[in-house]
Amino acid sequence: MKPRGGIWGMLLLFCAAALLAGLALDIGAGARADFWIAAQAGAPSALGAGVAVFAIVASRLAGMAHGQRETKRRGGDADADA
Amino acid sequence: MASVRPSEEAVMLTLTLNPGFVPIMAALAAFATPRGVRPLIIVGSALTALWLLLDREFGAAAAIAQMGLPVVLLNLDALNRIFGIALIIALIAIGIYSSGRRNRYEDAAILTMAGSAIAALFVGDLVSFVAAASLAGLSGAWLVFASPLEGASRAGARLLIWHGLEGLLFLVGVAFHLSAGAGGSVFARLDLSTIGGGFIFAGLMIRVGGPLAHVWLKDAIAHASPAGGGALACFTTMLGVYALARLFPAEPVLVLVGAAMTVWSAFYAVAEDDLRRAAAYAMTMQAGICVALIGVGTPLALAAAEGHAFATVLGYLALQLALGAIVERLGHARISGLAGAAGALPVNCLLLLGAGLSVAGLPGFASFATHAVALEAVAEWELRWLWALFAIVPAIVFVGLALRGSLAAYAAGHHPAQKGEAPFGMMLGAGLALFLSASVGLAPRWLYDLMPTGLEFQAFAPDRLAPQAELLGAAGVVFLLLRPTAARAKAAHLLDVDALYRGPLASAGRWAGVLTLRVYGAWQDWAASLAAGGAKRLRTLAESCDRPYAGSTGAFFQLLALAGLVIAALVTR
Repeated sequence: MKPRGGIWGMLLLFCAAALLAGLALDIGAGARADFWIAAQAGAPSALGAGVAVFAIVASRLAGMAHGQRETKRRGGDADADA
Repeated sequence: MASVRPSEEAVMLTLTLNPGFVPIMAALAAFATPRGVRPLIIVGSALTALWLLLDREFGAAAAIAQMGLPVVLLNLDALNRIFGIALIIALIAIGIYSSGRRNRYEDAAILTMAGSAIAALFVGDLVSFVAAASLAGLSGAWLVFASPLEGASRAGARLLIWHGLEGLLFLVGVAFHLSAGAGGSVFARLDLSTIGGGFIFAGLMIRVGGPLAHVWLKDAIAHASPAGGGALACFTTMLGVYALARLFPAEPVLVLVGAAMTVWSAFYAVAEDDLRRAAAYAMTMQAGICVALIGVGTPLALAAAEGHAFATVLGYLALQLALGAIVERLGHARISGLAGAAGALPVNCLLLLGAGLSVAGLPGFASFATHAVALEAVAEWELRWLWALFAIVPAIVFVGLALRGSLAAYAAGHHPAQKGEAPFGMMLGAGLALFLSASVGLAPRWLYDLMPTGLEFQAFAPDRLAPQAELLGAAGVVFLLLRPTAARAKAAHLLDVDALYRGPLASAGRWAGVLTLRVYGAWQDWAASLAAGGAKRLRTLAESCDRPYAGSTGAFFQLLALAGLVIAALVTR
């Protein structure tokens, strides 16, 4: 499954545009929430990047811990063990 | 419901009807009507309920007394109005969606569940609330039983157990509460430190999907039919959120409970292979936000909780309906098996992408407008850790549902079952829910005006738009760049706490049951052998008494004893 190009490229473009727009407003116009870390420029970007890393790590952990249990491709019940 | 004023000479009858009763009555009609009429019945009942809701002024309808307890079947205020509008709108979309498939039992179950959930919103006493909530729970189990998917019957049984336990806790709580007096049945704030309040709180923790009890939602939705998944997403946990807002506002423990719900579900939302389960976990995260806001308890926080519940209902309804349409065509909604789905189901996958963006809080959708209020509410009280938790939820949902789902659906692949798009009714229902979410998101003033607290809030202010754009943009860019594009997605089956009671505990229960049966059988055998031995000895003794002079040793001693008795009697005489 290689989603590079196509949807991958479009999603990357979309996300990059949103990030750039947000940073432009944040750094350029000072548009940021006046509370705690949100008062610092670029803080939401850091949070977002952290979430993405968390998601990658979580997927890896899930694959390592449970990857040996292949889900049977049936109608829909993959967890009927009781 | 007719109310009579006996103090007046001329008896006047005023008809008041809880809006939730209309879908319940329509459920009976759904059994006897053909397929083409049932969606009209569902939509018609929802519109009638909406009219009854909007046509009434705030306040309680005439209460009646039953066995000394006040029964208030209709008590309308700003809190339950906003929830009621959300659920009724959801029922309209589900009614349209249901035209794409045929299942009269499921239609009746949806109407009963929706009607009882809506009715529970508007009742004004505890007993009626417990009755309506229990009926909603039973209907939910019926809905899962009616699903054609494999394993649905067992999932329905599990759901029945959960809701049975919830109902039991409610009953015990209400009983203790009523022991304080008939006035205790009023549906108003309860004290968690009392026994009755504690039991009712425990029941609501099950309903809302609290920690350790959150597993029933993902289990039920994963095994429900396409329409059933959407219905379960709307008419279950949000009823619990409303009840918490009504009964336990500003209860500090709710802040921790809501945070725990959000944290626990985050892992599964980004790692679960089954998108319907992932969406259920994400919905538990949103419910956790609502619960935590109820725990904060300020007027702004409560308004944020109500608004966020409204937006969550619309957004996750759209998502579950879009996923359901994919399940309808492909048989599943697993990321590991979605490659090529966009080629076979272009419109459905577009709806999936749109719904994913909706629940992720993209500016322009309802979730963004209410999430911004939630952040403002916790910032007002300097709750930094809670603010940070709320702030990252949109990014988690964006990555877990929108990006993962879209990347999988639009990946190159071939689906042999080229049946074409899902039925038009399904696409229309999902599209309607998505449209409503966007409508509220683009013009949130309408939603803010519905809230009990007058809310002057600018959702599209630059200092709210920019952080959200940065957050989602950065999360998307980093995820897309770091995601292992060469690796094949694994069909990982994640275990949750239900693996304990469905695995080791279930095995232990079966072992204990077998052991008990064996012990019981052994005891029965021993008792039977004892009785047989005793009976044999008694029979032998009885036979020996028949012929005492048969020449046996025992007979001699019997005669000797008898002679001794006769001699003793003569001597003492």
